[in-house]
Amino acid sequence: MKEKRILDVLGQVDEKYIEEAEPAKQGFQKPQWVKWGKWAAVAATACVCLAVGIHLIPDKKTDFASVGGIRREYRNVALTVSEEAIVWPWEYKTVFERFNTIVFDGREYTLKTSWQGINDIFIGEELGTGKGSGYDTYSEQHYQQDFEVWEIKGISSELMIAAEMEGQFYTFSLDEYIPPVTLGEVLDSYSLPQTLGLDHFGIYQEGEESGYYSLEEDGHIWQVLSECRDAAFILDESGAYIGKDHISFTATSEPLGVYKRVFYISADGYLGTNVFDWSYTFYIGEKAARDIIAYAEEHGKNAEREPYTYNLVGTLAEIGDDYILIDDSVLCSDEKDGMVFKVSTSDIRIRRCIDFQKIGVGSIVVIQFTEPLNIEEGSTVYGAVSMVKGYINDGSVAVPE
Amino acid sequence: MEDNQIVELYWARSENAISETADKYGRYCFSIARNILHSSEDSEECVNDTYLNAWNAMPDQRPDKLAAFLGRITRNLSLNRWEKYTAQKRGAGQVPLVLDELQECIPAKERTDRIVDDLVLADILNRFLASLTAEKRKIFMRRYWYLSPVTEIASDFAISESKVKMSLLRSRNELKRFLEKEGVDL
Repeated sequence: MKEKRILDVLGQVDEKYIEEAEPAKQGFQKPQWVKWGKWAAVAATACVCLAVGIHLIPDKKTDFASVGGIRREYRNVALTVSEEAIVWPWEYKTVFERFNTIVFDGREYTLKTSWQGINDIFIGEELGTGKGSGYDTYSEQHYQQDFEVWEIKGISSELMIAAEMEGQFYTFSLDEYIPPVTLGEVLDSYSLPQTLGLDHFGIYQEGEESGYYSLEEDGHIWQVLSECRDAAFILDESGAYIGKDHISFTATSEPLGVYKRVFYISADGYLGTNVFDWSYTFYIGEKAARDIIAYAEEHGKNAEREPYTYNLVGTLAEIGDDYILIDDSVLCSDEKDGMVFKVSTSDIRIRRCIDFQKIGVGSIVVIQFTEPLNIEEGSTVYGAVSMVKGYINDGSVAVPE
Repeated sequence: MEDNQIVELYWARSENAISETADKYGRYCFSIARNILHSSEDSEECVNDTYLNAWNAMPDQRPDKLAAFLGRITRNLSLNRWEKYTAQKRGAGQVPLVLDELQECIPAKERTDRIVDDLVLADILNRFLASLTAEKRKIFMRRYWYLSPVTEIASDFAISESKVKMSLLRSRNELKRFLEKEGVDL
């Protein structure tokens, strides 16, 4: 196997390249990324475990899994996911994947939206026309297309804009590192109290999460933060705050184009977030921090930890025009307990997985989706963003399906 | 403890060398083994074998970069174990995926006429790595040296998965061209 030889001999390359790429050392050129990289890695690991979903618990015969909030009892198997490094050809990309850069008014903005577009209610005035550009690796061809550019309500258009693409709006942000001077600047430029909801949080003590909670009303927190407008921006390259006692809000915002990032307040007076891609840290003082933490602790209600994305595992049972059916009975001890889920395939993201990975009816698949299932609406999965083949391992023997 | 102090412990044949190595580099080695073997039990064994190999290698060796030295041992042990398991149909983890991807780097047969040994090939790979930009090189090494999943690389670099995949695709194409230019028959 020639490829195995490359893999083996790569083991002998210069140590400086091994050291340079060491997982704990990522982000040398952009130190602000380092700590968020680490945090994100934790989330990603959790995501992989959940993708595996029904991971091996040797002393139990069954395991429980949550499929978008629906509790399922599955037998004790391990699942290997066939992660494939696919770069989609131009015709298989969604429009926002194609044109991920827009030049407007002399500034270059890059795509911020992760999975889904922005609801119309967040869109303000039309600003003009921007030039979108994209690149197809396969044909090595550059593409350009004009798009209408809109203001996002409450957000400075010098920092973020919305581009209208095929009737849907997507967030693009200025691709430059311009750290703010104070917290007030960020609160104003992005109207954070209106654009960012602080409705779920975890409490961390000595770096370990001690609970996850939901919060109905975040007005008091924004009130406290608005009184800390002068809090200074701190260049915190060392990530020294990690491991301290803090609460960490899950930061998801359509207008800001962010999905499950973090917004944390540490007991010793720091606010930090990666909502703006770069790490922003401010010193708001111990009194304000403790006020916010006490409020959250008092008003938070126990909640189930949300995975980064939801996953559905099962057999691909049917491929329809705008849907597919997934049957999870292969994971149940008794096949009669199986459920059939309908997955809406309104955009190309599932269809291309079927085409490219040659997934046919009968294959074991893992669907990644972003919206929790609504039991009242039946078992239809919306917001499916990817599908990969899975292999079920019974005991220690991998059984390719 | 500093790396050179740990190396001194090995040279002094102190058993603390192992515990200090485990404290500082246990997780690092485990993550390499885990990416390859996809089994905690096997990965633990490989990490323990790494300590034993390090114990046997020092003295005479005095590594400059202890992490890379240990990581290289873990990687070799894990790949060997993976190969053994594949023969027993127990293969899992990132290796099959990475091998599929590396197939794209194999030069076209008509463009190669030079059979090289591993040392020469390693030298060619070093020159290829030196030709990449720092970020592309780190992403390439994370995928093909550390066998990290694409999702993990994307998270660590705070870039999208598609950017990682794009970078890897370009690097693989460049490696293929590089090997063809050298006329290397793998």
